[in-house]
Amino acid sequence: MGGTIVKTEGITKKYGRATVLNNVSITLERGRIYGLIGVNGAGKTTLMRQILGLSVPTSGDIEIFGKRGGQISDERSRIGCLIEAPGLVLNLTAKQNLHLHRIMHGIAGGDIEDRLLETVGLSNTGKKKAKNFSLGMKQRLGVAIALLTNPELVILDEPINGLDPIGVVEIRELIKRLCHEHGMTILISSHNLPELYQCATDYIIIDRGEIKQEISLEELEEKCRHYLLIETDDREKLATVLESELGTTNFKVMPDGSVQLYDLTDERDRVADVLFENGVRTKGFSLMGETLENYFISAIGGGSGNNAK
Amino acid sequence: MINLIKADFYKINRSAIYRVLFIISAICAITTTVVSHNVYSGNMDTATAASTAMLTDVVILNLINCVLAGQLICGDFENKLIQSALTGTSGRFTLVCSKMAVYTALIGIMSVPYALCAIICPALCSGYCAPFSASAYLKMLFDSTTADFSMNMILKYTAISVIMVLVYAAQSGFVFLMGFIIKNKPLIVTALGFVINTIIGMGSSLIAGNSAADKVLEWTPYGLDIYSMGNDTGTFTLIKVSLICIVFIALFTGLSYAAFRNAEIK
Repeated sequence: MGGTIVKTEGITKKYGRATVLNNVSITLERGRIYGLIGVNGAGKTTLMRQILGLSVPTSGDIEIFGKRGGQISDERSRIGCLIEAPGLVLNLTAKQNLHLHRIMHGIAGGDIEDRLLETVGLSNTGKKKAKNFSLGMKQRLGVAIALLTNPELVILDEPINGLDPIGVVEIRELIKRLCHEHGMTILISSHNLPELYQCATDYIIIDRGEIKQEISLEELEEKCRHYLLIETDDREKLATVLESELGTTNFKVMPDGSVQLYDLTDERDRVADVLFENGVRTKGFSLMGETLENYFISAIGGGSGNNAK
Repeated sequence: MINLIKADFYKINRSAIYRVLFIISAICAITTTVVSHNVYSGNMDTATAASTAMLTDVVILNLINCVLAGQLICGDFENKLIQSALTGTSGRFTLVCSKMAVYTALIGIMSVPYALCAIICPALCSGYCAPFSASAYLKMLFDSTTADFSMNMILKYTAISVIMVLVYAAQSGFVFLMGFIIKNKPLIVTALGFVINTIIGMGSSLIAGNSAADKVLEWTPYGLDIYSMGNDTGTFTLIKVSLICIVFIALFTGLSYAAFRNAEIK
């Protein structure tokens, strides 16, 4: 595991006067699941298309599996993708579509088609043609096609679009499995932040063509963690009461003297009562922390920092 | 490239539109042959036969070739198969070359009914005339009336039929190019291609006779002499026409790549 598989350096993409990507530099490391978050028109799909060679950057450089320039196109065979809508021939069945892509990519062995259909839950579609598939079924088939070449990097643009709740869970579990069991690196874009939160290990926040933040799951959890902020002049007494009366050591004394209590956030009244009964005089007592959405909004400059509740 | 060609034929084999186009070509080829024989036999007058002029290869194959370009190129942009091919192992040049190979092969397949009629029908039933100019296959039928049916003639007609595939591929080269420029609008490519092809055909007829224009057209796949290839055509002419067509096919493949090389693919 480990090692850089994709690196973009200062990619800019312009359509006429409109700058869709502006000096975008990101690095994707092997074996991780990257969630690409951005509002509509933020540049998510455009960025993915630059990596896949479906669009040529106006300026900047892309390195894929350590190769640059003309050598990149060979390396792209190590990438599987589903961009916007899957490449399907509508008058073919799911298996025939997979067979078509298998021929196109020169992959031997027909059993892979059945295995992939089983993996994405389309093994029972039989002779049903793709034109009669629901949007969710088409998306699943698109994911199967993306996995056909057993790629090292899978790029999925809004893969859960149109999926029912069960389908969403299945695709999420599949993405996790691909990463954990097969060591695949996944770059997945979605508007569904809670959904991304359940599978991504890293987040790239993009807005108006610029990368606003690259943050790991651990850092995001830290930022979005809810806690009780207690301000007092008697920190030692507060710590003693928290440990002895409330039975928690899950708190942190901050440099400014305030205490952040990460437990008992749902029992604010009880905490306040116990502190009062034990003579701890507080100057401030409030629930702090971000929701995912609020954090995202603040990251793209559309909101404030911590929100007191 | 072989994988892309195989994939295209896998898809084509399962698509109804290509079968329908082949059936149309077959019906038109048989009708044209029957009309040619009946005009020669005196069972049909030339005025009645004129109403079937639209069924000759020069019209029908040009139309079919435009539909083929729309389906083969724009259809794949629409269903995103080109995107899949590019994100796989194929570069853009490989993709354009494979499409031209499949396109030429499909033109060949669609020409088979006309070629078979021209080669086989003289053996089954003699006496044909060429009521319409600018049809290589009718010219072959007409020539068979005045020549003895022989193995040499079969070989020559087969060679001319193969060369006519190159002629049609070269003539449709700009429709192929338009496919890569317009991308996912097959109907526009088909309609525009047919209109432009027809205008070029009419234009080359109009300027025929002008010695300077004839000299220029002689070196293109649009020269009227191409349609008069028959039993009396020499080997040099056959080779010359073939080479001109191959150069034009290569030229349009190159132009298509140039147009597609840095193109955005939605």
